[in-house]
Amino acid sequence: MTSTLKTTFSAVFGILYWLSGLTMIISALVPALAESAGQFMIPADPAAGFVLCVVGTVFLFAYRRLTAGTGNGQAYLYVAMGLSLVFGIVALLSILAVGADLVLFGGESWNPVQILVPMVWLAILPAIGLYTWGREFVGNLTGA
Amino acid sequence: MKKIRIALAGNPNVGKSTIFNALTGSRQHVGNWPGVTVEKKSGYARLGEYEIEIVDLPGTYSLTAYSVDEVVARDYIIDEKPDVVVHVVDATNFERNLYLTTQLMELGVPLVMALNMSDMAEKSGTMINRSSIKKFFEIPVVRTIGSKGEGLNELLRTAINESETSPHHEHAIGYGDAIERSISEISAAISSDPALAARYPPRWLAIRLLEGDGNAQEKLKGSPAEQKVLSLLQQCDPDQAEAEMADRRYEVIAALLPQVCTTCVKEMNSSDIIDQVITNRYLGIPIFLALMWGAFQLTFAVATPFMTAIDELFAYCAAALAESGAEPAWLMSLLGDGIIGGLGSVIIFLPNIFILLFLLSLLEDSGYLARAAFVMDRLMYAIGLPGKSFIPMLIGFGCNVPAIMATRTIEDKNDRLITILINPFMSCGARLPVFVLLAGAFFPANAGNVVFLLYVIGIVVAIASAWLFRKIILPGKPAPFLMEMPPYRLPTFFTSVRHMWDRGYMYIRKAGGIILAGALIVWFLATFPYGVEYGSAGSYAGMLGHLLQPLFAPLGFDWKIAVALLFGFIAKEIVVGSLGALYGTGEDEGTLSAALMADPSFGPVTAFALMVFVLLYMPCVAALAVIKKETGSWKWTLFSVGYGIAVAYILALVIVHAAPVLVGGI
Repeated sequence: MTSTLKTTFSAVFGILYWLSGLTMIISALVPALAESAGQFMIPADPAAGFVLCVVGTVFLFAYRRLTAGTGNGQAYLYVAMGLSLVFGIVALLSILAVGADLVLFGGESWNPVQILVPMVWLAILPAIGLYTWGREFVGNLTGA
Repeated sequence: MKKIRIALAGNPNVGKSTIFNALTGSRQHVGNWPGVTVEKKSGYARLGEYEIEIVDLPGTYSLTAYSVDEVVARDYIIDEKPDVVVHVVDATNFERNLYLTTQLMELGVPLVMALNMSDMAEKSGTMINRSSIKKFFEIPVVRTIGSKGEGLNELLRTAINESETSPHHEHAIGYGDAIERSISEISAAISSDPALAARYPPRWLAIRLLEGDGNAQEKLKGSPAEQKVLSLLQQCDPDQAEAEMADRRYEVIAALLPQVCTTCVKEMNSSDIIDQVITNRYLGIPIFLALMWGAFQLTFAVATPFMTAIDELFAYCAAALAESGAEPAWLMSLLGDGIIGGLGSVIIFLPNIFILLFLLSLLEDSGYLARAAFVMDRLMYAIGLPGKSFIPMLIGFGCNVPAIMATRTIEDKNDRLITILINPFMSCGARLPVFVLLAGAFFPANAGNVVFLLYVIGIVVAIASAWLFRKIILPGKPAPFLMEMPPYRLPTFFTSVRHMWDRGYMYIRKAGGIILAGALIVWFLATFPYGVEYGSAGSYAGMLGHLLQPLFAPLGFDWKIAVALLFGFIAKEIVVGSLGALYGTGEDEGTLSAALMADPSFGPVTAFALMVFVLLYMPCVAALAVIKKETGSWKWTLFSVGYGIAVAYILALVIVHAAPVLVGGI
């Protein structure tokens, strides 16, 4: 049961990350798409799009290995979830910092909804997944 | 009294010197190996009727010729022919040490293994069967604890026995049909010269030659067999042969290990599992690039509010000083224009630098940076550098001073020198103020892309220079990647903060010392002779600028830029402060931008050429001091300055003359 869930989870998030990443990359090239994507809080940012595609690829590697039952599929899943969490935190801190600068020094208002970019919301479920499935795995790493 | 000679060989940090000291006590002689600056230690011990000379060879992981240490160690064994070689092995890292064992066995020398640090290995549950080692490797093994002096008499007794046992034979590892055929042909050619064959074991020399060992080729010089051997070698690919032979040695080790150490074959832990993904041949580099994007994104985004706060604080201080109307005027000018203006333009970038250093510390403490070096090794090798060069290059984005110091981890002298020489091209944080100012003023819509392009130019120039140095000045091949991977750890906040502080403190000291001094010099030259307009053509700075201006005229730089670039040698951060002083705007970025844009001699092309010049022209004085310290040579230090200026000048000249043609006079 858990194995099926992990496989499905890997596939779904691999596709979601790739779709979001590709949209961000293409939006940077096609202004018309950028406008539509912007309504769904998907910015036109090719570098961040590339990062999403990388995380998506690790999820898809996990899916392929979990399906085939070869290699260490779970390792790929844990690393993909870890990367997802890391980049979610990076995006969240970056947006909050820019917002703080606007509010504190720019005298402008800032809408907290702006944090809902794909890199942040896509990280929520993998973070829960990492906590649920990968707790023991992460716990085996010693402190620095 | 009988005399014998023993050489102590082994990997670095296996307790070799501890054993040497315990055996020889005060009867030591320390000098240098002939022709190189590698320390040579020899000493004497006595056991019964034997006077034993003991030579401590440099610690090496293998007997190839990638480093001076390796050449010294193997040449001693081959040329001086010690009676016995004692291979000191770290029992807590038994498997890793066996690669050197296989190479010593191939040399066919009388060999004894000292299983050192046995107590620690046993404490951690490692069970090494000494009689099995003797059975499979045909080497006598002695359990030693160098730090307590245990087992050392037995080690000497065993070495004496071994020196008296004859004959010794080469231990051959089978390298597969194709390679074995080449080895046989080359060995036969070597054996056709009896003098050469008597000096070097033919099979060993054939293997070294097949692996593309330049030092082994030197040994052939003047031999009647040289032409025949070289023609045979032309039919082989040394890189492929080297990789295949290394694989075979590791296969032998993997096959024998479980038979001599039942607990050495470890199950994969979390760290090994993560490595499978992080160092995956397809995912490794994309994951690395993504993590670097994350580091730079955080560096610039999170620093924004802190930078604004610092900017506002300095602006407030400058305004308060100006409004106070205090006297004397020169002192107010010194405080406002000199100290507040000069330091303000530097301190504002502290958040960027500290955040980048913190993130690099996190990556290092987690164990990832070592993997990043491994992942980048293939790419680095292509440009003639080892993967280990990558970490100093990465640190160079923060500050070149700690980056150049970080090259100490590179063992090979030439690899290290090339890495030091190209490091100043990695755009350090000090250059960022200049880029931000000029890109923001002249390329407002694409400022981010222009700054990114400058970073790329720096990397491309570094790569091209490394390739050039490797081809022309320091020929040879980079050392193969050999680095102990620390286990992955969860980095702790406070440890990373401490590491960040240790490195960032250097920048603060620089700001408080060199940069403050630089700011005061700029202020003095811009203010005097007393009474002239601050930073005007009549000031000392103006006079100096006019003196230098003809040199920079072909680049389209006027006298103000010439002065700013001259002061930038003290520290690159001073360039912005100098421009502020010379344009009479102080440290306020907006006013200075407006003044630059209003200057008819300044346009987008000149601005871009200036940014490229600042990126490349020479290391700051602090980096230069470190280059001198680390290379120990004025020649290389001055070369670094001259090469940087030449590259910067040529590129800026090309930009100034080619850009208007290419883009229709932007």
